[in-house]
Amino acid sequence: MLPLIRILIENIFKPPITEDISSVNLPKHPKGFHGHPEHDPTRCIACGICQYFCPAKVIKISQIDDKINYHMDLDQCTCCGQCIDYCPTNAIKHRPNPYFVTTNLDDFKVDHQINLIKCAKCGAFIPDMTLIANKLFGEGKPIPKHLSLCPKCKRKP
Amino acid sequence: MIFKIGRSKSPWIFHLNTGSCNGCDIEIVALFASRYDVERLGCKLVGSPKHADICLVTGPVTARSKEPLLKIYDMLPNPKVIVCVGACSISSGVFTDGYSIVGPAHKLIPVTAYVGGCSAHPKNIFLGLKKAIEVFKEGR
Ligand code: SF4
Ligand code: SF4
Repeated sequence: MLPLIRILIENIFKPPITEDISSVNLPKHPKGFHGHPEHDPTRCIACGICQYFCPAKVIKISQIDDKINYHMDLDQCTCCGQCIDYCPTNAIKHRPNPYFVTTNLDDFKVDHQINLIKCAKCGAFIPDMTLIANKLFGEGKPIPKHLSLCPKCKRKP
Repeated sequence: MIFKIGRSKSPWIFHLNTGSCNGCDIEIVALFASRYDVERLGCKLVGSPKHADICLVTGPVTARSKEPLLKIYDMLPNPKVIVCVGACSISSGVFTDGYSIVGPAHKLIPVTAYVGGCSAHPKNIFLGLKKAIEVFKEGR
């Protein structure tokens, strides 16, 4: 009986056997890990390819006056990377810190505004094709005239 | 007071599958396996919701699993802390508007933390657990 009481009293003053949760560091994410996508509105040309390929219908692109509203519901995203693979201007990348962990659902919503330029002939709003032109014809080369026209003006002779 | 300290130092975890594809469930088990090993931190996977402090919910809540979810929510001791793991349990994910889906979970029960990803990475599930433990420390 006596040794038992001794052990019990000792245990009260011993530090816990477990490690502290708030100070522990778990192993890092592996390299090239598929995390949530991160959209860069300055590179995006609002082509809609990512919206077409997304299997979870995360991405919604709509036009509001002279701007494109690029909306992502990342709470539905399956982190498949299709949007990243198919984006022609590399506007989407995997996040450096892969996933969201929050207490607020609104953190998953991403809303970006993409600026539009005016058609050279009629003044309708069209996306800026400079990045695509640079990719096709090389950096610093002049941008062909048909890329600065809206679809209607392109068809006219 | 003692409960509060005990819970914030060694939370016991109950894992509830409400119709998920098993991906997130495997990641939760990986959290308790040797590489991430949270049992050394005092977290323990328990078999009964009555023993649990934190409930990890995975899956988009199918019509069949709605009743068990509500029953288990009633069984959890106060404060009831729910952590949604994976895209499905946050927003029904790719199953949104499916004929058998009545979820997501936050429509049916109050949820404390959300862990995104499909499937969620063990490290991020751990970060979600940390957020849940803060709730115990604050003493909701
Ligand atoms: S595919 Fe790339 S450039 Fe096209 S709309 Fe999506 S993000 Fe923008
Ligand atoms: S990673 Fe996949 S699911 Fe997520 S936005 Fe891109 S295409 Fe959609």
